Amino acid sequence: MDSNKKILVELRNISKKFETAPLLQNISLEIPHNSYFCICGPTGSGKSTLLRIIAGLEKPDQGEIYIGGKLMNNILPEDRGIGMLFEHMTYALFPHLSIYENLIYGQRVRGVASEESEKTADEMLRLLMLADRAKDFPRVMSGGMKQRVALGRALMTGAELILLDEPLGALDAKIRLNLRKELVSMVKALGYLTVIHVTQDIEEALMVSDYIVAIFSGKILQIGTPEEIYNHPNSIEVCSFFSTSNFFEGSISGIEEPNALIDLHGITIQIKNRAFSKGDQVVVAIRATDLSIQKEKTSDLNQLQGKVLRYQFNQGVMRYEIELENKNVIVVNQRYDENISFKENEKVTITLYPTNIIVFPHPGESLEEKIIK
Amino acid sequence: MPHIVIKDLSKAYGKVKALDNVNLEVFDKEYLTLLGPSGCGKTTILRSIAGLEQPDRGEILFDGKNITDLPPEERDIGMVFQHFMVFPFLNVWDNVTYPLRIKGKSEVEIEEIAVKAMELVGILPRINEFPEDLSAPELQKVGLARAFSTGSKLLLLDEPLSTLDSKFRMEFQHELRKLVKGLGLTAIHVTHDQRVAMNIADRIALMRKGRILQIATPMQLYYAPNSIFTCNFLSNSNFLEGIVEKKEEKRSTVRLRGFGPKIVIPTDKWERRKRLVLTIRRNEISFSYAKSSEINILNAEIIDEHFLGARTIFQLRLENGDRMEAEILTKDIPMHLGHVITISFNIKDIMSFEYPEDLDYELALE
Repeated sequence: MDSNKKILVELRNISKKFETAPLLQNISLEIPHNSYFCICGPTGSGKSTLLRIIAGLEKPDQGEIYIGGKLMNNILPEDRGIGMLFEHMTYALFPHLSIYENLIYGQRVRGVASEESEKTADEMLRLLMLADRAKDFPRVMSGGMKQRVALGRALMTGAELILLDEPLGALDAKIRLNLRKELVSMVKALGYLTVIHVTQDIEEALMVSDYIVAIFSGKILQIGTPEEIYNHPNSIEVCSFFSTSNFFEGSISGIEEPNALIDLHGITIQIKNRAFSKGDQVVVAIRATDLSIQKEKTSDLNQLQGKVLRYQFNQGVMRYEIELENKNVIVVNQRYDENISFKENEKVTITLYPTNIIVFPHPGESLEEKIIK
Repeated sequence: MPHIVIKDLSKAYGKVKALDNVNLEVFDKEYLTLLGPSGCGKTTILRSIAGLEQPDRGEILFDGKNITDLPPEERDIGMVFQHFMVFPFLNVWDNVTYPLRIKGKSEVEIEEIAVKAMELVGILPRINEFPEDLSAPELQKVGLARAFSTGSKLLLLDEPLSTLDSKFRMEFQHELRKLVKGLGLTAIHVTHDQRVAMNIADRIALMRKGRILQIATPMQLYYAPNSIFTCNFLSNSNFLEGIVEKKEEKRSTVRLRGFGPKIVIPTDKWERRKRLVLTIRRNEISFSYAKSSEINILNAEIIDEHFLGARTIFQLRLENGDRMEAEILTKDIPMHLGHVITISFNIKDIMSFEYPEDLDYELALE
């Protein structure tokens, strides 16, 4: 992370329990000014609790929260200078104000409304795809529209720090996809915002954030740019959560520098060796998109044979489930091409690309426990 | 064996036409999804079939019998709701067996049917638990088991997956389809999510503003949409505006607006000077530095890029200022921001639609 940037939010050793179950364990995090952070993890990982603690809506059992260098633990939420939008919060739009007036309200109250903020509100309405609804009142708008207005208002409060909990959650799938891009544009256009955004939608996190905080069972496992998190996951948990990957257990059966051979219960594959020794127990992660299927075997190296169990078309991609010779099932996502498609029970050959295979030391316990679905 | 025919169904709430002359046929053992944005009328159709909503006009036939005026409890339908609708004060067993008790089945019958239904959906081990101790997927399994245990051959599902986590949703939709097919049920499933619809349905009815625009298999809907709305809703597509400049046999040349580049389309059905909207799905664009063929090669500047893991989305600007998006596999990318590149696409992947004369084409996408 860029160490020259000034830190806006700092969390030190935050812990929180619910009855006896730990929700958050020793969370420390520094968020620089002007950055977009996503806190991303499965349901029950503690991500929303963490956000609520930053907002002041919940108290940590232990640890400190600093915003702009000031200790916030005993400061009320409304005095923390934060703009927020929480899931399941009613959108709390003013029913007697038009959409436009709702957007600009925060700045009016603070007495900072200006020609500039009117321009910002116009731009915001355009980005929210509500330009033609500026004069409408909340009561004639759909839930999705209200959510978009609430999002715009949260961004426009004039606060530097914005907390968003699943801000696109209640929207139609299609609008959600469009708004992701617009959300980034809005934040960058305003220029002075620092955003902490909680989501369990992986694509959303990859698309909007400068940095992703991967959180599982109340612990931060990895902090990194979207590319780092996706391409260089530091654990099986992160790898499985952020991509559709196949996981196989195996052991290093031979080293032929610079390569290592891995035995996956009867199937041998070859990868570039990275500090493994013969006999090491490992877990191999192969992303479903990093494989290709063909009919015939063309090489003895890194090709697996199997038969198609089932296939599923979705949005230009064919998802195949293939049973390998060792009875493991592998998932392959391949661009649909009417000339290269395979049917149930058809025998096929799968090609692996060794540079895209990630190898983890075996965790020593059940692999199933580590794979986050 | 449910065979459902909906004829000229209309329903208005005040001035808003929730359903505008809807015709639909659902075949026995078919899995049909009603897909569309919120407010398109899909839930109103489902509720009309269930008898929870009374249409203003039109009729609904079950196996040829008009049931339009039949009360819901006489329609023999299993229904699953978005928010589960389980009774919080009843445990799993009592929730699942509730409709059987209402029907006055004997304890022996109830046990036989309910145990089977709970076993099918995999909720049997949690039989004595109360809803507050169950996760969202488990609650939806209770909802499903309850619907299955009615013994009805018609299953209506209203956004049953939308409250589940995205990863659970994937798994659950496979299970759901398998269960429905295994039991030989006819299912009508309402969703706003095109990914869910494509994964689960035999056919999809795509709706907009109270009307059904197209009914087709997922693949037909994706590759042969009959309107720019369908195209936009089902795929991530680029829309380019242009005018037919030249017509040949089975192909035409379209000049993009602002005296932009020419694009060759695989049809001769349009007259010269006709104003069109061309669509190209963003995952069917390839990048290169060198020209690889004579047609459908455009210069473009990369103005933005978004990393999405396996794929990266590029925002491109064409010479005439038009914007496009291309989705490229991340592992294939040598290009970055600011580069001027050539993009190309296959002639068969370009579709053309009449420019909607009465409105801006962007409004036709909403």
